[in-house]
Amino acid sequence: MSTEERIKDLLAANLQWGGSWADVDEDYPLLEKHVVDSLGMIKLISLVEEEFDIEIDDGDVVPRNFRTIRDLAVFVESKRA
Amino acid sequence: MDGDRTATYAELDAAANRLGRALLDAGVEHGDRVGLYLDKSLEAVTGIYGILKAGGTYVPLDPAAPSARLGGIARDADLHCLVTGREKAEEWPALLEAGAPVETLVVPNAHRPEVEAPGGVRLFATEALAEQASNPPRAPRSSLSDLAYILYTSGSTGVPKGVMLSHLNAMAFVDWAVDKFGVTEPDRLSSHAPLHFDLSVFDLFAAAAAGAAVVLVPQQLSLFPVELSRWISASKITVWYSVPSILTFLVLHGKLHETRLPRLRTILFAGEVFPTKHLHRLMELLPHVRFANLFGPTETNVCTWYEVPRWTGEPPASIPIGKPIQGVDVFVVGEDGAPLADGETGELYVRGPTVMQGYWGDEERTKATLLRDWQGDTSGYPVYRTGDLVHFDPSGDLIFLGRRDSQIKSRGYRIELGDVEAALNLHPSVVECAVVAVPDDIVTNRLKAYVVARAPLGEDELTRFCTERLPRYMAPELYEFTQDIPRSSTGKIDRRALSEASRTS
Repeated sequence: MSTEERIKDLLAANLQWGGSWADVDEDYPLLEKHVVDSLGMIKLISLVEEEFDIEIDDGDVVPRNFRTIRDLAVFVESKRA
Repeated sequence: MDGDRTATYAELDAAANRLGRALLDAGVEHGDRVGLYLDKSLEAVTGIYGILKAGGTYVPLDPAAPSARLGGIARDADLHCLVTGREKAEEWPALLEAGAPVETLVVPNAHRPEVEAPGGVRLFATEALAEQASNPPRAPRSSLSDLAYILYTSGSTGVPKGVMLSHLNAMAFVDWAVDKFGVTEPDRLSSHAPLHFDLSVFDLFAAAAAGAAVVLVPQQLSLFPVELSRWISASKITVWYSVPSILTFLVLHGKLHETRLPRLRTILFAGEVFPTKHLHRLMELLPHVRFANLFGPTETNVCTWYEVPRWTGEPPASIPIGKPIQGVDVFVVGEDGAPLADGETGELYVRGPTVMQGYWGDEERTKATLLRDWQGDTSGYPVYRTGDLVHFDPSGDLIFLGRRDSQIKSRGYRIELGDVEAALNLHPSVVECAVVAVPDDIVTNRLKAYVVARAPLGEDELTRFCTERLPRYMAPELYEFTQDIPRSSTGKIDRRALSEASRTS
């Protein structure tokens, strides 16, 4: 499975979002569409850390890394590199 | 201040006058409820003042809640007129379909024909407002006992209940808060809470009473603690008021050791219990800031408060909700309805000028919770039964122990577990269900649903079903499918057994 697919599965399994996950592709605006809300963000940080065995610094929790699944994947890959 | 946009109080006043005049043209009469349905913005703040200037009662609708729920609220409050925003245009038809009796939409941030009203509904856009004169509308003056706003809160049977607050209710709290926290013109108050949450009453009206600035916190910042911390610093916020969970998020991930927030002088928090280890850390990081815990259900706005002292060494396990604010009396009452001796645990009763006028359109519930002539009381104020269990500690501070019923808090939001169960029970495949609160260090509680299903059912399906009917913070995060729901001998859901099970699993 690609990093993008793993991230999408992680989001779909853990965020209480009422929209249609079928519409969520790599460039779907996660923040604008409120897929990730404040509680979701708290969960997401530890979920991504666990899933990819990385450590997310507080300074990394900025919109540019969380706007889309693609942004998240790029961020995760940079942490694993 | 709303992002790059600012308005002086004179500008706000003129815009509110124009809006108030438009509302009168739209047929709003003294005492009418007018809905406020838009994202928090300069227009939303203008909307509040405009509605009040027209002699109306504002009813803030959660812009993030599903139309089905808001339609029910609009029907209950009989909202014929909405002040709304173009960002909500897609939702208007669904709101009407869900039963909202709306005849007029006032959309201050849209030009025609940029937006179109659904069939049969009038629309007043920017142009219609610009035509209005900017001096005060000719509406009968509101008196202190008139309703200023109605806040809808979760109801145990699945129907939200409207808490009616008068101008006096708001002013009694605001006057106390301005004085107690020394709010003056040079202050900059943050506005973090949504407008349908009563914390916003402090942000907007304490700032206005003191001539201070109110700065709207951009919604997205709640997700990004470092950015939020930098924003507080750059916006030169002096007084912050929010639920504890956002402050906890800020302590844990906000790099406060870098920003330090030198301009900030006071942090007020309310809505849920603040875990003292996080509060203690926050106080260590911000040694120049004064901290206070404000307490009170929506029905009393704030009724008690506690100034948090600087602890030397380990913080206590929890902090008190403190002593009553000026003009308010509190009582700890036993099962028989009579006051208890100091130190005994009972239900908190509250009396005073901040106590609500009742529940909109619900005489029965009002009578059951707002007691007139309680214990031969002659103060003239009714006494509100909060349902909160409390006792006095030796220094005369009230300690909050929990609820008598199944109301819980999550991120400061008040949730009746029965409200969530009622929504789940509407699903055709759900035979029965029970929702319990799972304690959480940051958000106070997470919701877990135990579901007996007649057909195979996925969590996704239930999440989608819930979020079409409930605000997202009320949708359960965890599900367990089971064969039966434990019940007590009287047939009630045995929440204690389920809660214990949820903690061990």
